[in-house]
Amino acid sequence: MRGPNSTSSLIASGQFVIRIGPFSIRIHSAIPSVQQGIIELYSAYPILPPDTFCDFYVRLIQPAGVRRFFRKQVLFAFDQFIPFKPLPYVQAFPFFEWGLNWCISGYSHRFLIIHAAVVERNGKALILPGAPGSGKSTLCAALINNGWRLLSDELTLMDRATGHVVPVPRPVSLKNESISVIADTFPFCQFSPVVHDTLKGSVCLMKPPSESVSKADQTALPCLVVFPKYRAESSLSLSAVPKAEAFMRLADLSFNYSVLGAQGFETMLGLVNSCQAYDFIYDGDFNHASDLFVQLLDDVR
Amino acid sequence: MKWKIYRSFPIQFVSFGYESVAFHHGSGETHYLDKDTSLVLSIISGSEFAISEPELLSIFIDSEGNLDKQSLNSVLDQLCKLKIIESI
Repeated sequence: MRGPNSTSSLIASGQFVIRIGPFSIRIHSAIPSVQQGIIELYSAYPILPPDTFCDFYVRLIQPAGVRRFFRKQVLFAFDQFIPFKPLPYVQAFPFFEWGLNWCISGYSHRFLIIHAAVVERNGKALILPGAPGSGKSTLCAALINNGWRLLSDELTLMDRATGHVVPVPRPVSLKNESISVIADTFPFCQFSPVVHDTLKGSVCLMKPPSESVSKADQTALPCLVVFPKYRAESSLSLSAVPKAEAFMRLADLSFNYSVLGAQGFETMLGLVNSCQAYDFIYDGDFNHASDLFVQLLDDVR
Repeated sequence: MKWKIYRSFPIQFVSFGYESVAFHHGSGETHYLDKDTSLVLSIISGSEFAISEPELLSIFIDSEGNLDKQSLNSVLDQLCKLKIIESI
């Protein structure tokens, strides 16, 4: 990435285009916290020429009127469309991340998109689906600091043509207690400032490993689906999920399964047929979890 | 009353061991089918002609299914409401 001043001015002028996995994204904002977040957490991503065709043009802007000065707010704009109500100004950078998730999950129908973290080892993908609060991002953050490659902490993109998982590695979103858990366990990682009192509580973003970013063009074979559930002071447990049940759970957690109709069914079928699925309860012993997943993936041919 | 697979739209039926999922190309809905429902549906879909309830129950019991007549009727009713099967 260029120097901070140069990057800031590109972002402020709408000339900043970045490649994230299969997407080119134009980011436009005069808000310093957005610029700073991009400079710090997206430093390893390829920057594209300003006139590149963009999949998404996103802006973080201040609303007109008194709210520019009094109890400042921020709006997220996608092309010329403002899909959400404004949020407090201090939440601008997390808002960028949430908004971009919304853009990808709502408009990228060449993929079957599942609400799941996904990591890779030896070309095999481990998919960690889960509703908010299941602990998938925490587990994902721990795994990528344990030798796994980050494909995504939020959106698993299944290529409908090949059935492979397409990486879209972005900063890992951590919430509430998991922020200190990950920051204490992996103090060498880089984090954004913590933003408090959001709809999700306190949030912060962890910079993805640069190797995950540089390998963002390398897809992975889906091999293992693990539905995580963090439960303090509970012994680690792993139980097989029948394929029909796994199919329905994954369909429920998909953003666009219904939109894709028969093609969504076929893609999901390919995914379920190629994976073993498990329910996994863990107590925060990340090393144990990682070892277990390595063993499960090794058993997959 | 005899039963056959719903004809107006294709139904894609995939079995995973005892359980299965069915995709209805008309409604776009996906349905989870438990063991007994999957067995009932596989008997109906495997039959060349529409099949009566006594025949169905007989084949069902021979296939180690575990349903009485009343439960079978309930399964048939559900499948019919989902437009996966129809009566003639």
